[in-house]
Amino acid sequence: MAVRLLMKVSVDQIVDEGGGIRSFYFRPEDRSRFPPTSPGAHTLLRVTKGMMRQYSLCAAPGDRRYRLAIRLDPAGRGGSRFMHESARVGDVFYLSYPQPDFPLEPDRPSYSFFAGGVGITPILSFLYALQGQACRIRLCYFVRAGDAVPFEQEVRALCPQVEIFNSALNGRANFEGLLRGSQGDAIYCCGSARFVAGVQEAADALGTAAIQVESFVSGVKAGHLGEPFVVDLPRSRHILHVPSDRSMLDVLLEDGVDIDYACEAGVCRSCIVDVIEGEIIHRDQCLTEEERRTVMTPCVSRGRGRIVINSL
Amino acid sequence: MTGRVCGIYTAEVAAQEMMEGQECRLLANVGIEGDRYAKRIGRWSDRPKTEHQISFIELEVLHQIYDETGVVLTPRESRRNIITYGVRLNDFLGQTIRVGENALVYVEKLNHPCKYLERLIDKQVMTSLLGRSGLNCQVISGGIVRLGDRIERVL
Ligand code: FES
Repeated sequence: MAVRLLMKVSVDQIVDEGGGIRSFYFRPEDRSRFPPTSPGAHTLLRVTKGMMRQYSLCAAPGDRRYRLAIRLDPAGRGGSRFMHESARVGDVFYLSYPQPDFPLEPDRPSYSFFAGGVGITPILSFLYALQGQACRIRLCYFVRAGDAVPFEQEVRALCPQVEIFNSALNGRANFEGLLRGSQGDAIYCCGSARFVAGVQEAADALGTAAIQVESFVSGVKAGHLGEPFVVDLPRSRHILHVPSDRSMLDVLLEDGVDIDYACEAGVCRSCIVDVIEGEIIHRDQCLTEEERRTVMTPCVSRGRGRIVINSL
Repeated sequence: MTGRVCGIYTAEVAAQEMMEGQECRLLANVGIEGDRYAKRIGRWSDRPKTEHQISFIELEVLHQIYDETGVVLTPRESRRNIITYGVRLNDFLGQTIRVGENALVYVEKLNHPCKYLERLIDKQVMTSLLGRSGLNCQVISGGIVRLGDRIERVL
């Protein structure tokens, strides 16, 4: 857990990083400096009312600004498009305090990082944190063929031995081969859900010790999300119907329910609610099996028939 | 019973860290000028309710919470607009109170603490706020409110 309050900020600089990615540098508007960040931390960017998005913080140490790298996803839900097309230097936004949920284990003799595309951003913060330390670092960086390599100069300066691969080759066989050379390392992986799942599967097949993973989402399936169901909120005495083409989060928000949310993809834990009764179809990527017995993430998960939830 | 205003806080958008002020302007049936609820972008603004126009909490409660639990809940973190001193707010339920020279507010509800606040500030305060979480009010008539202003029941 961490403080989730939003800070008023303005865009200080926008830099094209290649591969459809832009870095947005923010400075604080109503405070003299930002709270310190830790490697792997992310922030929630309030793009517009009702649109919160999660991005890694990846500014170089010594830079007192926050940097967020945002890849344009034309088929996405509109956050990246808004930032790429409409955000200008000087514009005001709101950013949350840093959320440190992908931490780097310190003092390991060797580290291996697997980055897929814009998944390089938390890894950049790791590379900065490990600068000057006497550890062995391996970086396998997958980028789309034909694209400029995003952050290439920065990555090469931080990790001259970086191995850059065409992301079309990110099949399991290839990951297994690479992971063989990383046995014993502290292994971190960040990229799309598919990329992360590929690395994880390869690691499982090899019996590699636990790897730390973080995935981000792009796009969201519209249309049929599941069977309709009913949500009972005893505290407010409301009974809500969630149709097959809407998320439970949507329906709760529309009802004016006091609920936090950010990723709308079951990864950030913001929207967790307590389940009192009923069967849940869990579709998140963030809860443990233990937690799933008592809570759910209504942004992606659904109920069967009728469910009763607390705390709202 | 007369109390005093000892803190004034507003936020421009939902979940924003509250900003401290020396004074604020209350707008009749709207809220506090510049505040998230007056701008209709607060957390509850999709279903505007008059009770969200302005909120109050006693400074004494924040002190009690520290004495009882060791948790420091600062006025700013309490996310209420007006911090009061020297008055029992719960006694005002259902009444109209004057704040400063001219502003009148109707005390619609006792505030019910929520988990949302706990998650926002990462402090366990919901249980300790129960029964003394302050007031939710409607602005009946506007006016300027400054630090040190009096708060009293309208007879
Ligand atoms: S909004 Fe992120 S888990 Fe639901």
